[in-house]
Amino acid sequence: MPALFSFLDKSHSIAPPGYDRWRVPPAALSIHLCIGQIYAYSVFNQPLTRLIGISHSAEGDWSLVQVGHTFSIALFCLGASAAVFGRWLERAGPRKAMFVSALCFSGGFFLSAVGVWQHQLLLLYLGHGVLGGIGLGLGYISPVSTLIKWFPDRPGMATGMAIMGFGGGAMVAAPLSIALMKYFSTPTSTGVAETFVAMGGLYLAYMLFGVFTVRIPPPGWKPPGVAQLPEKAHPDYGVDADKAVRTPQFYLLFAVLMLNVSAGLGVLGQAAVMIQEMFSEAVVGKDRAVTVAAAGGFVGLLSLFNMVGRFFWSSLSDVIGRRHTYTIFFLLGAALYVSVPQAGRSGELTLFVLAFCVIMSMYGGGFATIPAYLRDVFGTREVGAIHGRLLLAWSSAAIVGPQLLNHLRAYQIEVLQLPPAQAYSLTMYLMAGLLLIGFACNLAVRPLPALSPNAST
Amino acid sequence: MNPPSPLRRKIVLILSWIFVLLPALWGVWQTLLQALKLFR
Repeated sequence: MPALFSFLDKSHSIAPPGYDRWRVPPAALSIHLCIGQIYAYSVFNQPLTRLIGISHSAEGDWSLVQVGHTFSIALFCLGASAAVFGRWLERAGPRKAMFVSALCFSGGFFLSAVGVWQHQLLLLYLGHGVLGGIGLGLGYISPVSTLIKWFPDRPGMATGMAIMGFGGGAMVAAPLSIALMKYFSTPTSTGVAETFVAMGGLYLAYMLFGVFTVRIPPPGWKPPGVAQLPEKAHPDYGVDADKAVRTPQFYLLFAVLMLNVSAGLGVLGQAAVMIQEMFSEAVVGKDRAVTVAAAGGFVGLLSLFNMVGRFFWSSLSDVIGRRHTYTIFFLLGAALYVSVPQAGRSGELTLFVLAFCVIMSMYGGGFATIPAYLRDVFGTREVGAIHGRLLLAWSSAAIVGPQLLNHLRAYQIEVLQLPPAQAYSLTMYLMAGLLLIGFACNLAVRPLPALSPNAST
Repeated sequence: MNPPSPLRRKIVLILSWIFVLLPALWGVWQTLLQALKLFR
């Protein structure tokens, strides 16, 4: 690598003596706050289907389904790149990985802008989908793995901070995208391409802050005030990623994450429609019916709980343990899902909203607690690479889950002729069932024999 | 080169947090405004 880029080398990112480890979370957050934008991608859906017609979809405009594929491609590439490049990332160090992530993520915006200008859907898929997705994958695992090494005494809290940023990223991106599109729109343009260029530039600058400020702990470093670290917290202790994926523990944790994510996605994708149909004028009367604006408020509230849950539950897991934390997710989650149809039937809006807020907090908590769980089971050494491979669970759940739910709902309304307000009951019971399977998988997770303190090997 | 003083280190730390928290808090505020519509 040319000398110009030598600052990206792992050896150049080792922290000097006296370095304050609390400077690393802002570096991690600067990456996660940007890549969390993917959750707000839907704000571009409608404008992207009106590039020719501007105020309406005209002939030759892209369809919503065509545009929607971009999100699925990005999530697939997120999981795939995290799995493929995980080990490289551990070798190359966080600075290089975050730099590549920043280039890919912002490059995705620039390429998509060209795609919009040229009206080439393939460029949109390659830009936001492939390039952006690779940026997402590298940017997601790299700061998390670094924070686990800096906070061996509180890995749950540390990773919760970064992953909370991912949840918060959508909260920044959604209003920012809308404001920029409004600013750039003209009678002859939706302003999407210009918005992509502006966001690509802003995100690149913001992510580079993380690249320049991230540090890794020097060999033998211990947190201040900690005399002796547990064995699993040592940076060189643990199994490598190739060995980890050959253990039943990996697949059990894969199932734990996938089932927790699937259950949460059941709410996220349908929240606005669900609350309006379950509390419609026909069901609860005109005075208590949920309006479109209130439904938007419900989605906002869920996003807040999704974000706060990431920090709250992962920090709690440092105190009560990872397994107990997931036990709460699965049992409490199942109980809440079962209670939702009843809350809907009895018109209990407060109970309904409260149940979903807690469910969403646990959905976020599941993401944020899994890296620390992996560290507990497989050790610190290649936790980033193992986490990367586990993220395939998220991509698959995020792509397959909503499709399944939409089909299930359509089946209930079109084939079983159920009224829309009642079409969610089966979905909720299915979600509760998924969580109970997750509960069983979580119970079956045991420490690796080769890593347990009494092991002979 | 002399190592940075403790005061300079603290200032850098605070500025780093402000840099990342400002946009994040703006996003949270916007979402909170949206969420409040549920209770109106």
